[in-house]
Amino acid sequence: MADKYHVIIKERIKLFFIFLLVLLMILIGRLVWIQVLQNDYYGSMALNQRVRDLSLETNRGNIYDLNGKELAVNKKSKTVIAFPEQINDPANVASLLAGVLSIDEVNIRRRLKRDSFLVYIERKVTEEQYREVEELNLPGISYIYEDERLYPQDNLAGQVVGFAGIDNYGLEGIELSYNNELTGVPGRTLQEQDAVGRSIPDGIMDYIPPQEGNDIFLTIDEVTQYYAERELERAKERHDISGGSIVVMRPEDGSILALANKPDFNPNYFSEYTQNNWRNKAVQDSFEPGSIFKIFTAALALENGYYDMNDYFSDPGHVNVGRERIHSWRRGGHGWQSFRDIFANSSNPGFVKMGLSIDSDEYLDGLRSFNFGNKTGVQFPGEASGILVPGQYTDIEQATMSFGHGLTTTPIQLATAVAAVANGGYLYEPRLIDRIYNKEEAEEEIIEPKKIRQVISEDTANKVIDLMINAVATGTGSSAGIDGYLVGGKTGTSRHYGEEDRYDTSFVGLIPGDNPELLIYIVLYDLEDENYYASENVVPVFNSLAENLVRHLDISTANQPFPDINIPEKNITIENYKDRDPKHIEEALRNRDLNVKLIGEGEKILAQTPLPGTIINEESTVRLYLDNEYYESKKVVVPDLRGLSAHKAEQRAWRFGFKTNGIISGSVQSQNPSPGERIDIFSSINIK
Amino acid sequence: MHWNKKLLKHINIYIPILVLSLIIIGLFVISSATGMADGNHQPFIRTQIAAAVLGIILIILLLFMDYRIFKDYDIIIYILTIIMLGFIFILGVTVSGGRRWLSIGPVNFQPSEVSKIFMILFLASYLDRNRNKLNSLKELFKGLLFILPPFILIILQNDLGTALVLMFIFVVMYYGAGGKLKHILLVFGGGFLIVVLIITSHVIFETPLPFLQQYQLNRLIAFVNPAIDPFGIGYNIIQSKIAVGSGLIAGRGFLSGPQNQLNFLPEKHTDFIFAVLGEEFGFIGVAVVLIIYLLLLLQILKVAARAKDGFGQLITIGVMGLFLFHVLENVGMVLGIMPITGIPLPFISYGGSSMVISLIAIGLVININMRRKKIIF
Repeated sequence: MADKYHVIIKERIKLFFIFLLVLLMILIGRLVWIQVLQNDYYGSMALNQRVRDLSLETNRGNIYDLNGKELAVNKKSKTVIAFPEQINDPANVASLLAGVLSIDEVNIRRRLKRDSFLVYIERKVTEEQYREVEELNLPGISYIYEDERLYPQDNLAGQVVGFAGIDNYGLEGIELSYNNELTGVPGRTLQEQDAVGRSIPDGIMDYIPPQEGNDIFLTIDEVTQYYAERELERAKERHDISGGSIVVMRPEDGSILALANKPDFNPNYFSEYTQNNWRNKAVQDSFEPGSIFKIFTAALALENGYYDMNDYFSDPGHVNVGRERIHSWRRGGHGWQSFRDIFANSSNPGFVKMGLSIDSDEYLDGLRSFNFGNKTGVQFPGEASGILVPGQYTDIEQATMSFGHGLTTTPIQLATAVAAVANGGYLYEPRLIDRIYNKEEAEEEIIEPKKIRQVISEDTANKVIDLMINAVATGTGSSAGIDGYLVGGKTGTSRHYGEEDRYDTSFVGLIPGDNPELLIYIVLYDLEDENYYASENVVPVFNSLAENLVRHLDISTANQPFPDINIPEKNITIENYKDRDPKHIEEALRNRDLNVKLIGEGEKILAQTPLPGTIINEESTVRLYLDNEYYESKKVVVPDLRGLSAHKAEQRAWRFGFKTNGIISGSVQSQNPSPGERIDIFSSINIK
Repeated sequence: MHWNKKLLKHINIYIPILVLSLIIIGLFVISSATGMADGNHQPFIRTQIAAAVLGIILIILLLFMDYRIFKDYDIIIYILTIIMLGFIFILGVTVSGGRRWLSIGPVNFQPSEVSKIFMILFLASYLDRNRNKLNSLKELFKGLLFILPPFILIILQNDLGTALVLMFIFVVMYYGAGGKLKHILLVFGGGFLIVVLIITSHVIFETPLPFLQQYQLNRLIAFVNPAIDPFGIGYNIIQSKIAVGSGLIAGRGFLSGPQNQLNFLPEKHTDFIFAVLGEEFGFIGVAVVLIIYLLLLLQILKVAARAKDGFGQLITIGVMGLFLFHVLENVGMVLGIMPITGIPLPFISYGGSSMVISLIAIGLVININMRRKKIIF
């Protein structure tokens, strides 16, 4: 045995000794670093990855009508999910799924390749869609339930209720403005989980229970709302309008029974409609109110003692304001007229005179106290305030404003202000929510009516109501009326924003007139001018709706006997004016209290509406065409002649510029073209 | 057989005690890692105890043989190693990406594990025979010529860890036998540089990668920065560091480590068992285990120093190298200072093959220790 070798090997072993000690020191040093010095860091990392702060879902509250009819509820919908780890061939699975779902293949493939335990493929699919997914029988594809909002009444009150998005957050309407009430408070739990995300029994570290969302009961009455929407739909069929709004309100406390608009939408499929359909025009859009505004000019003139009901006004046919001249719609004017008459006849010069005599501050303050130019405070998102004073304010502005031009209001604003007159002078906040039911506490909170202020005295209010009753009985609203009920009302017409020869026409009615329980405000937007007789368009809508509502809502009949006003109707038979001189004819017709419209330029009258032989009321409009360009390609909406006798059908057709074809006995059963179609003017309608 | 009752008197009593204490600690940690809280640990514990008992029986049988007998069969041992490692490509069973198992009748075993013992015996014999010539670079290359065939065969089985163990054993034994440190540093430093160059060129220029599988490379890269892929390759490293790091000084307590009990730790009863130890028993527990390993290695070196002949000394040094590399690599991997190669912690990690082979290695050391004195009849 070589000793030298032994020495070497022993030396080496000693070196190994030292080597081992050094290595141990390194390992211990590393341990001290991780376990002692960086313990906080690793300790919190450990805690973070196993404790999950989970949000506990809660049920969104339902929305009901006044009587508990469901307008918005929840249903369980299936959401298609995938477990990427279990999917072997993402490309194939993606193409199969894309075939049945509405998400594209590339998107699905990207999700399937994500490095997570669970991914959403498509949320809230229909039962049929899920059945198709199920039939594919793909491993790693499954579903979870999610709450989805369901609107069982479809379009009904859709613009009031609004809708909630995919995450159940309110996006429009009551769903938006009462989102906090509806959502409730999601609970929270700090939960310990294992590496694959399973919760550990006894691993709950903190728990706050979720609070259910509150149920909301609207003041809207489903049946009233239905009638209102149906009437608008019918009006749309009959007239060439772009839409309309109806507000039905109880004047006593501002409760809104119906808030209808056309066009509308179905909140279940809200994404398939444009934002224009989503709009609750009655609250969110403003327009020029027209003559309805005379209600407030009259109220303020009476309230501030400028005029009395017994005062008389002269209407010479025009009035000069500064350098402007405002015409009465009747050439030559109405002559000397009582306060009642200028309201009933809707005399613009009369109101200009009245308006200009009121102190401008008093006038504007008065209008502001009616909330014009301000939001009404209705609990609805995106309410428009309208514009009371657009810029400079001179006599001209006050003069035009006195008959409702040069300012804008919303339908809800106008209805609320008229309600203040109807209830004896008190302005209320429009009331859209009747009560809120708190499921957690089993408590019902009634949303009390909110009286804002008194705007006029009861005495003034009664006088204005009297004016409105009179207007229906004798004046421009004279075709309004329901058997057995005294009705007060006022018509209004104004030029549709931004368009020539198109009008917004409106009517506000109070039932019963002497003690109003119901206020109905109707506006039809964007009406073509040949139908510009309130009695032909908006008043029939009112009559039909009011007849249904007094029965449905059990409105009491009049307390007072009907006022004994009986003015014989002045019927005028239209003659044939073809080839006659337009100047002469115009003057002759105006002298018979008819409104005349000359269309085009020319020496001779070439065509006319109504057709010769038509019997019309005074104050109707006669249109005289002087240039064939204006009528040769003109399309007009066909009137509804069904149910009328042969004579009445003919009269009605003539008024619109159509002839009738066919001999009938009894009433018209059907017609061709059908009502609502647009055909060439002066063509024929076949009746059977 | 050279057997005498007196031989037993020479046995170093510390080695069996240290090994047994490691095995017992291991049983506790395995219990915790395999779900003792739910009673799922029993099959694991049964297997582990059975392997330990089998290992101890083999040690006892081994004690009847004089270790010097292996010197006469060194060439046969070497050839057997190569045949065994080669056979695996014909008859082997693939387990999780590595082809490592060989079935002979009812017994499944890993030739690469066995090859560690066989190569220690062969190298001890070879180096002992050439011990006076080891001061030249030529001899180092000659030695490498013998170690490279099993090294490459094991790498081809995708068992980089065991291959590196063999190389480390060779280095330790070559140096222990009198090889020059300068030569070793030159050859292995150069080799390391080449490997780094190959990997760099693979990563940057996408040149093909000889021997290494992509996942092995990824493990190597992830060790440098686990945050690159925290849910993929880096996951093991991050989770084991979190486990050890949240253990603090005294640990979370037996069966109470969240990282372990909630399954955030991967392969926690085998390769990453040290992380369980660190989380549940803290710095104190880990330090105790490391000190036991240190004492065991020092005792083994002591046996080497006192061994009767060069062959015995070199076997003992080889065994020391074997354990040293396992401990260093396994603990280093858990602490994030070594790449992940997937080799077990001796006596503590769950696994029958590893337990039996480790005990046989200890058996060799005891055998050498027992026969350190000339026996006088």
